[in-house]
Amino acid sequence: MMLNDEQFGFYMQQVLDNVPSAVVVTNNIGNVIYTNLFAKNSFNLYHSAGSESLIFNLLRAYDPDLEIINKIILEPTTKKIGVLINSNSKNAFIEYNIASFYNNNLQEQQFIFTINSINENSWLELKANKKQLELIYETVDDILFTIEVKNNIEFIFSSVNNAFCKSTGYTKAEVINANITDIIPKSSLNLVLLNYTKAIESKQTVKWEETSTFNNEEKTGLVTITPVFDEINNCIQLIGSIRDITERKKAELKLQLSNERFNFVTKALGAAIWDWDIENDRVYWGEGFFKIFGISEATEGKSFVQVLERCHVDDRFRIEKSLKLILQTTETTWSNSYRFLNNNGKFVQVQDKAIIIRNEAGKAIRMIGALSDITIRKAEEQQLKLYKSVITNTNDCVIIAEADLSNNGPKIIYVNESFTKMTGYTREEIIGKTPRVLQGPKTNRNVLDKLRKSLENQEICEVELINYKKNGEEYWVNLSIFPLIDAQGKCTHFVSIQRDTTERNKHSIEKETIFEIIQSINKNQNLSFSLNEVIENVCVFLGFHYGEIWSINIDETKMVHRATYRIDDSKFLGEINKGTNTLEKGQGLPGLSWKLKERIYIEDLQNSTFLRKADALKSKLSSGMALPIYFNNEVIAVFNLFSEKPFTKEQINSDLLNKLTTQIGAYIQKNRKDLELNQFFNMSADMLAISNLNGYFKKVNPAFTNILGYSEEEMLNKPLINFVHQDDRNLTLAELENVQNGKITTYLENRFIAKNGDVKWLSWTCAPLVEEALIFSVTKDITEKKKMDEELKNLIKELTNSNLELKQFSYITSHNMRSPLTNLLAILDILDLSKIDDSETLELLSAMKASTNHLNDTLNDLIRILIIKGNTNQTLEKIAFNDVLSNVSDSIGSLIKNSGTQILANFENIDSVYFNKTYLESIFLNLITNSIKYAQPKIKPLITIKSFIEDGKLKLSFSDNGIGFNEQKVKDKIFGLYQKFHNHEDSKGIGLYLVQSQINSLGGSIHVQSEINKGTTFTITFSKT
Amino acid sequence: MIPIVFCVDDDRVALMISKLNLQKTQFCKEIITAENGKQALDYFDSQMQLPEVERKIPNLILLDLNMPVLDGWEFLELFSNNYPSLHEEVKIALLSSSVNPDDKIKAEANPFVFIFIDKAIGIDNLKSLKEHPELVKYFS
Repeated sequence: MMLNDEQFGFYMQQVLDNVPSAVVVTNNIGNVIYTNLFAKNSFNLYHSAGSESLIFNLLRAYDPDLEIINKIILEPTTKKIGVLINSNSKNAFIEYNIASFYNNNLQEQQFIFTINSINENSWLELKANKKQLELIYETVDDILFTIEVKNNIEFIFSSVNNAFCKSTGYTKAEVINANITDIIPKSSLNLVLLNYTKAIESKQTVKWEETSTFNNEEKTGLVTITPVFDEINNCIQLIGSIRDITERKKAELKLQLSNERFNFVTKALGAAIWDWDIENDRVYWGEGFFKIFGISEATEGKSFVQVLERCHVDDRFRIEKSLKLILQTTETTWSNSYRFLNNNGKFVQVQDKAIIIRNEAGKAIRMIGALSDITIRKAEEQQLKLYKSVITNTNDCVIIAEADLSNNGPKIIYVNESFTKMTGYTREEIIGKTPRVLQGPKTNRNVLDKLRKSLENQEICEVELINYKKNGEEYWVNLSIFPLIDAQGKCTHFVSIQRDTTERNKHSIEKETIFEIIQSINKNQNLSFSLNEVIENVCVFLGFHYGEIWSINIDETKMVHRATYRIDDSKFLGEINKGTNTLEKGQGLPGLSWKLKERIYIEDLQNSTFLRKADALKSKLSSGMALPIYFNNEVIAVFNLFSEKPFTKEQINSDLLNKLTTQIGAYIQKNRKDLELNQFFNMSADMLAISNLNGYFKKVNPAFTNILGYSEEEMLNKPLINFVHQDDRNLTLAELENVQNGKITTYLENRFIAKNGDVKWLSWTCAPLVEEALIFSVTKDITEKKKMDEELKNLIKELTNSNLELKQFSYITSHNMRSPLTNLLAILDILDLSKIDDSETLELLSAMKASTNHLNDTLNDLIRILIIKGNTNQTLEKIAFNDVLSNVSDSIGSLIKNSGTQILANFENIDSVYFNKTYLESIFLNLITNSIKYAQPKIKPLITIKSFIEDGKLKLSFSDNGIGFNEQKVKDKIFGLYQKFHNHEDSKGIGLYLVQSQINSLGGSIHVQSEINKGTTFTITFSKT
Repeated sequence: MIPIVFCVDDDRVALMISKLNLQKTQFCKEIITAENGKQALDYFDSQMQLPEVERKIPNLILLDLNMPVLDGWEFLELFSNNYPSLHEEVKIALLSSSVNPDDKIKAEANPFVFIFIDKAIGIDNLKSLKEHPELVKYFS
């Protein structure tokens, strides 16, 4: 059944009056045109004419925020709240919904308010929420919007807030009911749609960051989209918010930087930062707590009491009290030190420094502090105290100066005790001054420049220089300077540690001087030159004004003035012995020192016996000293030293001089030796050379260059083999190899080609010095000798040849003579004289026979001599003297018998000799027959033969009692050929010549002693026994 | 007596003396002579051509050293080379007035030579030769 309008109205009236909510209908301008029973009873809301009936007025009366409500009416969406005066004239707290419909009858928009009363708390809550939400919605900086979703693909803006408009530049009217595709820039649209879809599909809130350009401004926003679904899971709405993080991004970046900086500072300070929010009692710890104390829960907020637990129990009360006290004051800083528990369960000593932030009323609201571990610093402080006492008490001077290298120089701010002692300056005098006050004329500028450069470069520098004490005394100082660099890397101070090295320097200079002296001696071959350097060094070092060195001659008979030092031209001591510069032993100051072997010091020369007084006076030299220089405890030279003033102790007994007098003696001696050796080397007529094992000359003497004509340089630059004659090179190289292999002495003859092309025969004696890898050689030029040898050889050859020819000639001659002679002899022998009657013929034939026999004898003698002379290789045999004597006695038995000769032989000492038997028999025969031949008339010959040893040689003597001869007259001639000294019938003058020849041919000799009418003794000396 | 003695010498006087002395001492039955080594060798050559029974081979040669054409040494060399078979049969005595001692040494070293005799050969020489072991068989 269809209800008519009246019926429908009635029922509706019944329904409306029975619902437990107030229902109010207004027209489009808010005039109430209907209220139901509940509205009338509960809220006293009546439908009436006039302004009071205007719902907005009603609501406005109780709600100051009508504007907003008005707005809400225009945008009917959610539950709203309000306050109405209920029937008890009390404020009624309500919530209401507004629905609008179009009244066709009245042709206007009408609104239906459904109002429910709620309790005050709920109302207040709702009101707060509502209000806040509304407020937030419109006032937050975040962009908020709602989107109506149609069919999951069409998105229409249903509401946006002020921020949205502000950011995008659109008005609300432009946006609401607009499709998002018309609003959101194309560049972002895809991402947006993708995320919307994602949110719908996942049914979850989706967040993303998005950058879009609105109003020509690039904006970055964090977008959040939450989908809203209806009962059947259709997405009907998206609620979105966009946080503009453009600024945040920038800020974040800044923050990050400042955070980093903060962290760096924290780190740099070595401190842990804490932040105590006093009002809320929350303590926040910076990451320093982790870094420094290992506490990882650092960033969590804790209460003060909790934090205090980490403080050592013994310190806790004190700290708590201290903090409470300070908070009640108006102090803004607080500092304290206590033991703090680190993560290892150990307590570390911390220094806590904090600032207190107070509000306008002066109440402390916040405290920010820095905690630093000073355990190490504590130890360092101890160390520092130690250092300080060390610095104060050390023997080294310590100076601390401000690092200021400007014109005024660094300003001294600290000096220690030693400094004042060393320099004589008091602390008050030196503080504020620059170290330059210590410098003076002898301070080495170069060293200072070096020092300055190092300091400018902030480098550690160590130098040694001369400084001056307050009293002007100079001293050597070793400076070690280092810059102090502060945390900013700036050099703030210089610390200088100084040590007085005067003594040490004196020693080292002394050493240097000795070294220099010895070096100069070694360097110079010239003794005088090096001694000049010695005396100069000595005088300069010890401050003498005049000095001499006298050295003793090699033959130690005299001393010679070798070297002089004069501080200037005014100083001159002349010669002692006029025209010479020599002294006798004992003469003058040096001579006396030599003689006495001791130091002689004369303080006042003028009142002494000093020989050169006048010169000394002129030269203003008042004191002098002679000091012997020793070698092997013998005086080898003498220092003669003079000064204008009496000598200081140092000068008289100087370590330097004491050392020198014992040390340079050997050098002088060596140089003297070298001088001699050099003399030898240079003056030798023999060629002397030193070569290396590679076959190069290293040194040759002048004889070498003179003989060969090359310069020394030429000789040294080429391998020595290059100078050797082509034909002698192999020989020379082989010999060189021998020497290289260490053969001690080598003799070698070879030819060198002189520069002018001459061939020079050289004889070498070489000795290698293996450890030095050198060969020393002495060489003689034997070219002349070689020539002579050659000539001699030729001569001998010629002589030998001619000798041979002569011999041959004499053989042939004698043969040719002999042949007819033998024939003649044979014929005379065969001739039968008995057949000849003529007495004269017989007589002539007899004479011819005698002559022929004589000729034969002579020829035979000559031939025998020829044979002996020509026969050089005699075979020797052992011959018994007795055998020879008996053979000879037998052969001339009748002669001995007839003459009545007596022979006494004594061979008991030596009975035999190595000799040629024939010769020995011939010798016996000749000497015995001689003795018989030359016996004194009427005296029977007595011959004594004996063998004996004299002067180590075997001798055989034949003595007779014959007529003898005048030794003076004939001695030289007695053994000559055809020398006849007696008018004896048998004398041919050949026998003794034969004897001597035979003896000589076997290396023996014979000599004779004789006295007229007494006898003759022949003594044979054999070469062999 | 030795059947045949061969005197080889360029010196005719010496040859004559040798012949006289050989006869005087009744040293040999027959004497043949040559004036140099060549002639002496020729003699042997011609004799050796003959039948053995007709040959007159000397038992002793008195050989002079210094000769023209072919001297004693050269003869000795050729003879000993050509007729080694005659070594036993023919004794050679060197005869020289040479004063060179080397000649004597050389002669003694030659196996064909049994003695070296100084010239000229005299009666005494020959007498002592008769007693020489090599020749004594002819005189007993």
